[in-house]
Amino acid sequence: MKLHTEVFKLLWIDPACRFQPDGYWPGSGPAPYGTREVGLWAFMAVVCTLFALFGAAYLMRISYDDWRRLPSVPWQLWLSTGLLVASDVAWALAARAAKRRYLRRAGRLGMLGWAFAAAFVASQLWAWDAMAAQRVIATAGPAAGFFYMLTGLHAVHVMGGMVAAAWVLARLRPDEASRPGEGLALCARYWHMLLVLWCAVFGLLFCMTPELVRTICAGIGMPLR
Amino acid sequence: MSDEIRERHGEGDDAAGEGGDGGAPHGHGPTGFWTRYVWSQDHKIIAIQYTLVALVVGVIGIVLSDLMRLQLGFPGKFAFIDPASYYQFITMHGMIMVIYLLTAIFLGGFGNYLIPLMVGARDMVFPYLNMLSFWFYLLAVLILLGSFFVPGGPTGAGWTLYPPQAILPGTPGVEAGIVVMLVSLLVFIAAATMGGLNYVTTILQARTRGMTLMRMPLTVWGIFIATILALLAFPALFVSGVMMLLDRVLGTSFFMPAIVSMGQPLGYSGGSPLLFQHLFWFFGHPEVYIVALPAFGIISDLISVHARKCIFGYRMMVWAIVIIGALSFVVWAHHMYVSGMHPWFGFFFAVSTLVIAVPTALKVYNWTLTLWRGDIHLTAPMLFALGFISTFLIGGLTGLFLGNVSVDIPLSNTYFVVAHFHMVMGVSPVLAVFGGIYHWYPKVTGRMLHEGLAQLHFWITFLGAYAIFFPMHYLGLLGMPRRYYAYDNYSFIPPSAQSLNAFITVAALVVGVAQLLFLANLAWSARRGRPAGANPWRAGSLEWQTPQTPPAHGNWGERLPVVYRGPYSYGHSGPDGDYMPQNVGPDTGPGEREEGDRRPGSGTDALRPAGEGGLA
Amino acid sequence: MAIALAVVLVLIAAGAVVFHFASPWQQLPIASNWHAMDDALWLTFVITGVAFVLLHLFVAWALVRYRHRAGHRASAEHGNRRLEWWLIGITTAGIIGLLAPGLTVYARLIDPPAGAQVFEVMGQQWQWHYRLPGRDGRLGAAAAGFVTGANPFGIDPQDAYGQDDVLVQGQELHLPLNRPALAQLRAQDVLHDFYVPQFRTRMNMVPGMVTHFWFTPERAGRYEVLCAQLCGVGHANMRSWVVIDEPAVYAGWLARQPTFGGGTAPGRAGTPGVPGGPAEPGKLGRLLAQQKGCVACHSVDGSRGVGPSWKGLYGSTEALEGGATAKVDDAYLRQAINAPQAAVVRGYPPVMPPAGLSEAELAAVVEYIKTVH
Repeated sequence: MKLHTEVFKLLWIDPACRFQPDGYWPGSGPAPYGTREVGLWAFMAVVCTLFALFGAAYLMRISYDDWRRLPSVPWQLWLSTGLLVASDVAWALAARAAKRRYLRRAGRLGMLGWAFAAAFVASQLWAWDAMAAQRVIATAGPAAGFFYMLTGLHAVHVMGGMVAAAWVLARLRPDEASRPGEGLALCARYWHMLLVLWCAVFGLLFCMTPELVRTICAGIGMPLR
Repeated sequence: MSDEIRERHGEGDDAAGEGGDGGAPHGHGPTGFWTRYVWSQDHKIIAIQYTLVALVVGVIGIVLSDLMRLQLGFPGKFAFIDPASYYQFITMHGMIMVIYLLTAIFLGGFGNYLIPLMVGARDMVFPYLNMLSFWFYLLAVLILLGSFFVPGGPTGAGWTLYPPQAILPGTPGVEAGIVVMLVSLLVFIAAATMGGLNYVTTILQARTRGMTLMRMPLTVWGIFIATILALLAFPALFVSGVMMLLDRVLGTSFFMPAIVSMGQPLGYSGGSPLLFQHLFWFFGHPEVYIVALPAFGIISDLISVHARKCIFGYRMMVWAIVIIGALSFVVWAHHMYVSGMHPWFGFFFAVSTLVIAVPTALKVYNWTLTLWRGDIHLTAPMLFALGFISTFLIGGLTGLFLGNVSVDIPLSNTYFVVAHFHMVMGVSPVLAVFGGIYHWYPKVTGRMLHEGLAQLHFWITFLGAYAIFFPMHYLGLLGMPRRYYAYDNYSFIPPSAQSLNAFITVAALVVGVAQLLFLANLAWSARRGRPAGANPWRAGSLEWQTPQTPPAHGNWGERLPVVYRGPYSYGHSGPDGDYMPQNVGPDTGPGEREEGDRRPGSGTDALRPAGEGGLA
Repeated sequence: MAIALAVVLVLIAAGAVVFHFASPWQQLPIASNWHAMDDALWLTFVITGVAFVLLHLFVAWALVRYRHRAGHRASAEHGNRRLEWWLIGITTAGIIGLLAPGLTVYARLIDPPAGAQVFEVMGQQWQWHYRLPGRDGRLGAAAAGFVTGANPFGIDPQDAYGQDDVLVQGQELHLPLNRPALAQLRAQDVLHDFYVPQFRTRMNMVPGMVTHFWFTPERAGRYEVLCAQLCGVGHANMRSWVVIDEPAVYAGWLARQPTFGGGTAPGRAGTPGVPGGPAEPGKLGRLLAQQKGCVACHSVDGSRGVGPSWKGLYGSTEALEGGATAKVDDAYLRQAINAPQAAVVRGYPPVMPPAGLSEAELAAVVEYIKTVH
């Protein structure tokens, strides 16, 4: 089996295009299998690129002399992490349940995942409050600026996901043609990405140091400017 | 399954109308005026909406450039053009042309219209998202134009919006214009992402039976790779835009170092203007290929159809597009050779920039080799395609000057750069837009554009562009910097340079006014043009084989087409002359082989449609 | 039509070559050691010129030979792999032919020789400041935090090396002939670019950073300095000059320049922190006008700039926007400087920012304007 064929199959791409059923009118029902998957992969690539570029900007900025590390991690951020993990787990379970056609259970797990995500956003705002109370406001220094910007944009993407998830949950029907498992699987996949991005943001903000960046750049021979 | 879907769609007969809904079988498709022409989810309507809005902002962009040229050609004669206004005109002209005209028309206009038709789909795979993408684009345009009406007017920071000057006093538009510009760009990026998801997914997932990736027309390949570039490059603009917005609105110091402005120390510290430049150009260089790659694809199709010859080296042309797209992400800092970045970067980016010239040159060779031994019809689309080759050639060759770091240093930020990017980004892609519109207008409207007006439009535009931009290179060689309001009392500039500037201004005004010929032709021919028939150019690609012209809702009637060969099957006897359409059954002619058909059972043998196996 | 277009393409190719040689607009005669850059440029012209002409002639020939005629039919060929690879090879060779000299020159460009004469350029909207190391051969430490009206370079007053730094008077920098010069570039506010076309090499000036370039002046003369990075509305007016002198003349010029620590370069006593030099009426005002950037828009020789000239201004009557007139006296000048939007002069754009001068500075500048006849 050729490698590129396998890769394409993994990503639901059919280069010989056997998927297009004859009578499918876009918008008239669920798209042929694989269409929404590919669309979501493309969107996830865009979001990951966005955060990767923010990360690159962060790493460039961290090496300048005026960098002051953020004070200790506010405990609300640990709470946030826990809530996001719970949300992700709930969505994964919901997707699995839907695949096995336990649609009531899937719906409830999905709503649980949604609720945890909402709680995540709330805990983010709480964390912002805590930081501000320690006088770390957006203009308090570059690290502070990145903190608010990165967590804010991540929360925006969580909220966007919540909008899409609400739409999926609302249309959950025990109907062969609507393939409910697919919609919930897509939500679960998106939530995995949100969790991975959150861990990356968390790590960047609180574990990265200028010394580490300088060591790595020196190691690979990359000049710092 | 199809019956079920038809049932769900319900009844609702649609009257035959000029929009072409009359052929939609079984009550598919919207029926009211508003859902058919305004809140339309039909890719063809959305494409026309994109194109019309883009042409309108393009006219605004040309007017702005003519205002700039009035000042440059006749300095001081127009009192309303003061330095602040001049810089505002420059900035808005650049931003409108690059983003709101070229990107929107190639992806949203040509992409939306042609992709489903060329791959044999009924519509884009996410029609609602497609519709939203247009309305977000329109919103972005309105916000941008709104910057003319805010206090202080639009930003005058140059389309590259470099900090610190973009958000400091001394540059027009600091009060509100820069914020409005950045917000407009963020909205545009949302629109481009929504559209981009559609184009990529449709091309990957919604091709009809037999339409393998290597049987797609090069127009689709160009737009496909350009869309991938857009999806991955616009985030960089988003990042830099958000950070600049925060610097301006909240006072953060992402890009702002310690500054003393107009004698006052400001509260910023520690930021880096170079960080903005890296982020901006990481977007900005792929952006020029987002504009160029669809143009390349369109030109390949125009030359092939109008010279009645298969594009020379289809497979290499596809690879060239893919490689150019990939390389476009590693050349960005050639815009930053004199920025003060670490000098070692100059070596890397000079090499990568000159390497990207090789696949680009191959494409130029292949276009000219397609003409060789062809049967060249000098229709309007072919004229524009030839004009493209000439102007892209000079634009690309001057890029070699600017990509080679030590040759670039004296030329950077002079008129040499202005002449280069206008030829390669302004003139040649715009010639491709015109050629494409002249070519596909008969498909969109069922009528031909007036040929005489079209030829006149070509000659004025082509010769005028050379008159404007060729001598400009030499002003740059002389050392005249760009983005200067006036050149009073510079002793190294001879009076003849001022005369040249006046000449260029007159040429620019003539070319600008001549575009009215094009607009008039579009409007007049929509009602009075000669009826075109289904396939006036006798082209082989799938978009010309629709059962109705203009194509009805759903494009293909009851059954999707099946594809048996590539789109460039010219020089063979077919049912309609010297070509074989993609969807006509197996050909019994001896020796017909597709480019790259070497693997048996790969499914591209002309005798059966591809159904099994992988890429061909 | 095919013949017409083919003729036009041939004319374009020929015309481009003719234009190149006949054009009155060419590179200015080089005044520095970077002849190799000009050679690389010339080589690029040759290679790209050949490609430009050959491809245009080829297309023109194809147009004529293969234009549509009755009975003419296109070939059914799909391509020629071997030809494509040959073309790729030739193009690659051309690319290498361009890169090799280009990168060789670049390697030298970024490698300044030891012992080069250092000079500092500080850019500010919209004027230039020049500083040279004094007898100790080192420039004093400087930072944005120390920048004031009287200290545009932000030299640290506590730094001993800075005391003898030479602060060039006015907008004309001198450099000695035939000695390598290393430019150290800084900016107070926004990006600028120190560009002298005759020197060929140049670099942006970035606030928060120090950038460099180097060259050896090889021709004496007076050269215009252009700002070549958009820096706001006064970008086109940001002017100064570089004069390349014989060493003896240069030494004489250098001796006349004041130092940061007071006095002139050989070290005469003076007030620390205030530029020395001979007395002149309105001098403080003149210096302030230069430091604050007023001279970018207001000339003193009568020529019209972004703003009205100061020559003969005091005592005259100005016509204002809206039809009123005003006598130019002390009160008018004070308002025009610190609250310019209150009364805009007719025929001029309302772009002047409030100068924000203190009472003492205001008095000094007004005194200076009075002296400009």
